[in-house]
This record gives sequence, structure tokens and C-alpha cells, in this order.
Amino acid sequence: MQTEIQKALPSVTVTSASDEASNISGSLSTASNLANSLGLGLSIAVLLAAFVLAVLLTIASVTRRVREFGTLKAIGWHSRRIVGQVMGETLVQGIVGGAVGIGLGVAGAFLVTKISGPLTATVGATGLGSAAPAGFGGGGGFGGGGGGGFFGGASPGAFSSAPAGFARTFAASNHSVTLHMTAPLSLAVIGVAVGLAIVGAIIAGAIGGWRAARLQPAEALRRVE
Amino acid sequence: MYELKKLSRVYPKGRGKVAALSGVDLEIPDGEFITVQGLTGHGKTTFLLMLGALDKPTSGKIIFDGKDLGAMPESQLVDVRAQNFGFIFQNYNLLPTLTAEENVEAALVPLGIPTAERRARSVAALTEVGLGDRAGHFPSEMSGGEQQRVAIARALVKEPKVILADEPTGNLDEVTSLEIVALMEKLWKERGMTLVLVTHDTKVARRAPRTAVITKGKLTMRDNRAPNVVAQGAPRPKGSPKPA
Ligand SMILES: Nc1ncnc2c1ncn2[C@@H]1O[C@H](COP(=O)(O)OP(=O)(O)OP(=O)(O)O)[C@@H](O)[C@H]1O
Ligand SMILES: [Mg+2]
Repeated sequence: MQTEIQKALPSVTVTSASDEASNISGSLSTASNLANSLGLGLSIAVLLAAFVLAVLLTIASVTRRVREFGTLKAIGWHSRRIVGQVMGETLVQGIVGGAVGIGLGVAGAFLVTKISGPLTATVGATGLGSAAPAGFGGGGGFGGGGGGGFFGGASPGAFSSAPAGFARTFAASNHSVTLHMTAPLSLAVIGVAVGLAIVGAIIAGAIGGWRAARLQPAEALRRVE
Repeated sequence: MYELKKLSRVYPKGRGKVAALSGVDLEIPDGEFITVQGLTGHGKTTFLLMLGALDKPTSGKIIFDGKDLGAMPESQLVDVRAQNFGFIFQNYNLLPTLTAEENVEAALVPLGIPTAERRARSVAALTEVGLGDRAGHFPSEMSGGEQQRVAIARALVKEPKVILADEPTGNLDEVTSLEIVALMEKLWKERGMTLVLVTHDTKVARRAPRTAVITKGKLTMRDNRAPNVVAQGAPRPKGSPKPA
């Protein structure tokens, strides 16, 4: 029958059911590949954006506290001590924020996998697809979430409580990006997340601390009066 | 005791310069209470920052207990500040993330006092300003007047030689202002500290024996016990009667 039709309508391509099946699976795998590399790229982009945002927010919050540093200088604190305070707070908040972010990410990944489980067999499972979060903050903490592809980038802020009985902050800053339908998790991903949170906290703390140290006390006190 | 000699502080402003203080000569003996008055932008805060070793003169000298503050490196000034000066600000400047007690304690941290003693002294200072029961409260849980009391406790807890207050009642209503000023006067009398108080309120200013009036960076002393006499940097006449 196929040959008959082809004879009658030579210019029409006719596909058999078996051809069809192989075509569909072919394009499906192309789509899957595409989703994989697209997913990976997007994940990395979102991750970087979240990381940079977290660092910037932290630096901004340190800058907002300039008058506090001026006050501390006025009551006789060494710059050294102030810088130490800033870096300590930032680091603790980074670790706490990172931990909360990873917790949320893992929970998110678990939920996504559970809910969407059998429906979405193929799309998305990329290795790093979903690395995650960096959570840090000074004065206004920032908790990035991730771990699961679903949360791809940053997710809800973290409540952090800081060192030596100093600084209690609450952060709220979130956005979520839907990237994939499944959420793979690996120790490597979590490791990357922890590493990023700590590195980000150190970068932000160092920059914030350096700014605080450079301030003339009079200048710091006059700011935002 | 302070000796100011031809003290000037010039800030760059645009292409020109502005003399926030110019040619100030003044002696402030230990234990004196002086008030500072002047129009906005005429140099009062600059004057106080100089006395607190938080800013340096562009020319002239400021000598505190024989030490030339303008010539000392920051590393030494930090210790002078920690030991000698208590600051009180118009906006209280409490650290929002610390409790009242922790805020007061922050003044003792640079002095290397053990934690237990720091706590005890901080609570005692809070009690002295009438806030013994608020030690665990955060600034956001207190009224402006209460926050300023915490700031006063923070300034006096280290028993400094000098208390410097920049418009401490500027944000407070009349009744609360009077309470705060009365509290500072009481502490000044009891402890014999030097008290320098910037205020816009002439009634408050006249409570001190002498007032420094700053006009466009120039300082003149007004003797409040002989209201018509104005003498630049002159010591107050002894035995002159108090104003009613
Ligand atoms: N960092 C600075 N750079 C440039 N100019 C400054 C700076 N700080 C102060 N000034 C100028 O110095 C002058 C004195 O300022 P100062 O703050 O001492 O005034 P003030 O008497 O305390 O005013 P107010 O009653 O408003 O508090 C003002 O003209 C001000 O603009
Ligand atoms: Mg001022």
C-alpha cells in the first residue's frame, strides 16, 4: 500500500508507523539534549547572578551601616575590631544562609521529583544543572536556595543569627526560576553550594570590612544624618 | 583639660573652601559644664568632633591633658577616645541589633574589661539612668527618650573624663528634653566630669555657667552669670551671681 500511494503521489513523502516512531524518539532525544545543555547554561547563569547579587547585597548592607561603624569608632573601637566584627558576622550569615539555602533546595528537589515523578521521564536531568546557592548577608542576610533544578537560582531569604551575641538580622529577598522538571541532587552539587556560600561570604566580608576600615570617623558619623 | 590654640578646620567645598572653624582659642578646665550654641551649619558639630578626637584641625592646636591630639597617629587616638570621651548624639546612634545592655557594654569592649565586670557595670549604668528593667530590650522597643538614656548610660559607663553631647534633645519633646538635660546635669555634678553640650535651646544653654557661641566658624564665649559680658575665651568671673 505504501508503494501504491507513492506511485500515485510521487512528491509526497510517506512515513510508516515504524518510521514515525523512530522519528519521534529521535526528535525527543534532540529536545532532551537541548534541554540538558540549555538547562546547564541557564543554571550556571542563574547561579552566577544569584551569587553576584548576594555579594552586592551584602556589601550594600555593610555600606548602610556606615554610621554604626562611626559610632563604634567614636566610643573607641579599633578599626581592626570593627573589621573583624563585620567579617565574622558576614561569615556566620554566609554559613547559616548557605545551610538554609541547601535545606530549602534539597526539600524543593525532593518535592519536585516526588510530584512530577513518572510524568516527566526525560527532560532536564543535567549533572550540575542545579548547583546552588550562596547565602550571606550583613545586616540583611541573603539566603540563596538551590540544590534542586526547580529552584535553580536564589530562593527565600534566610533568618540568621550572628556571632558573639551580636547582630540579629532578618532577610527577605527571593525569586525563583523554573528550569527543569526533575531535580537531581548529588554530593558534588551540595559541595559546590557550600563552597560558593563561604567564598561569597569571604569576598563580601572582605570588601565590606575594607570599606569600614577606610572610613574617617568624622566622615562616618556625618553620613546619613 | 583642653587648650585650643588658633584652631581651624577647613573643608573643601566644590572649587572653594569652607572654614567650619577658624582661629578658635579656648581653655576648658576639668569638670566644667559648657554649652555650645550657633546657627545650623556654623560649626558646632565640627567643634565637638575636634574635642572628641574624631577629626583633626587643618591648622592650630588642640591639646588635651598635655597631649597634642592633632599630632597623634590614629592608633593612639583610638585609645585616647576609648578612655576619655563619652559621646552622645542627636539620633542616639544605638546599634539596632544589640540590646540596651549590649549597647552600653560596647563602650567597655575596647578597654579590655572582663565580660562579667562589663555586664555588671552596664546594668549599673542603665539603672542609674532609670532603665534598670529594660536591659534586655532592643532600641526599636524603646521611645526616643529611653534610647537617649541608653546612649547616656553608654557614654558614662566607662567613667570618661569628658562627655560630649551633640544636640542630645534635638529629637525630643520639651518635657523629655528637660528630663534628659536634668539627668546629664545631675551626672555632671555627681561625677565631676567635663560636660560639653550642643543645643539650639537658649533656655538649656543658659543652665551652664558659660556658653560657646559659634558664628561662621568663629567662637565667642558668653558668660551666663553676667549675661551682658561677652569675652572671647575669657575665664568666667569668679563669684558672679547666678541668673534667676
Ligand atoms: N565633610 C565635610 N565636607 C565639606 N564640608 C563640610 C563637611 N562637614 C561639615 N562641612 C561644613 O562645615 C560647616 C559646619 O558644619 P557643622 O556640621 O559643624 O555645623 P553645625 O553647626 O553642627 O550645624 P547643625 O546645627 O546643622 O548640626 C558647614 O558649612 C558644613 O557644610
Ligand atoms: Mg551639627
